[in-house]
Amino acid sequence: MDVVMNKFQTVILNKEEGIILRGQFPGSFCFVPVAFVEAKADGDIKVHRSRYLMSTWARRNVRLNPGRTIGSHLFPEEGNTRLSTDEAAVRKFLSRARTMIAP
Amino acid sequence: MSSTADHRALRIRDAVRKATGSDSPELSSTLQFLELHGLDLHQEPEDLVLYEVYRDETTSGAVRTFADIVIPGTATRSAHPTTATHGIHFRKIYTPSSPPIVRGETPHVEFSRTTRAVAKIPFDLGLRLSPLAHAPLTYRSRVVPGQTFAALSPFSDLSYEDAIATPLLPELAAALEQRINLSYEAILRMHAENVLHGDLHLDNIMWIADAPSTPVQPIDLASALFREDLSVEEWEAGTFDDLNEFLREAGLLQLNIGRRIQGRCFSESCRLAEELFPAHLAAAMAKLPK
Repeated sequence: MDVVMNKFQTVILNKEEGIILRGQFPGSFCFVPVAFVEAKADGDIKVHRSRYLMSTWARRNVRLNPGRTIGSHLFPEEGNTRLSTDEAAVRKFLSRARTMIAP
Repeated sequence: MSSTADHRALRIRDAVRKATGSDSPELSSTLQFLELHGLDLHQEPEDLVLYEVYRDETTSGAVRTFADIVIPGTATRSAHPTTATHGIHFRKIYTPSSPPIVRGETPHVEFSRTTRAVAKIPFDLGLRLSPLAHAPLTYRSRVVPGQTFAALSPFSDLSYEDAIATPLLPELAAALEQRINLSYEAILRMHAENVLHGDLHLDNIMWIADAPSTPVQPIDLASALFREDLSVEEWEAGTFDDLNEFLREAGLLQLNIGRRIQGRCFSESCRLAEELFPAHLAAAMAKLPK
């Protein structure tokens, strides 16, 4: 977790620390708690999908992307897409998320 | 999914983002593009998983059932020609330990019951449910472009007490009230056509945000039941089973905002509070001001 926190800009949402990744559906974003993320040697990141699914964030991220996804769960796009909170779309996602659930 | 398929899916997802005009297109334009052009983007024998939409995993991590939006591979198109008419479709894969399989609700049963139900229920409720094909552990149908009620509910995964205490912005409460009302009415319209859903938990109703005139879509009709096959008692018990999760949601919303809401589902949830909730919550509902 320390490696992740050093490499990626983390944010706090619902009292959890996590990172923002692109969701699989266009225009969607996922909040993934840092506890479920691992930095790989090549710089890519790996999400521990079972833990993410069990944590309820897979569902909650659907709610935070209204009208942008399909079904009951949203999974992050994996690979090396690292999103910064400097990006306008990410800021917008976070702002909406913080109004929908506790910051 | 293999690493090669992973990369192929990533490449196609990126291509779809670009082709639909921006990095953040409306979902409907994404789906329209894929239904038209999906088959041109993938010519390998295996299906290509483009988007993962549902996972049922045990706490040990074993996947029991999973569902994806796929571009059908050439083998699927050849074995099931109905899948060659749409660039993408919804594919659900069961394992022998999937709860529906254990209950005997095989993909063949789901296909038959869905086909029978769609012929009876109002057109707008069956419009998007077209079954396409089935195999012993695989069910395929057209994509329903919505998000599940459960995923959208601010009360999901919360205890009753936490749901009642959770802060709700007025616009979120209003949106939930609308989803409850319209979902409840949609279920009553199914019942009016003598069809029970049979497994109507909050993950089996989709909300289609960009279809304002027909936003509610019941899904997963594998357990559908038909009045002509049931006794009067079975039918009445079945109607309550179909409605009770929505009645509970209506009760929790009223307790959360601290007043009664007008509407059939909301008044029914007050009337049936003792059947829906523990005694202390039923008592709290009885005291809610109008």
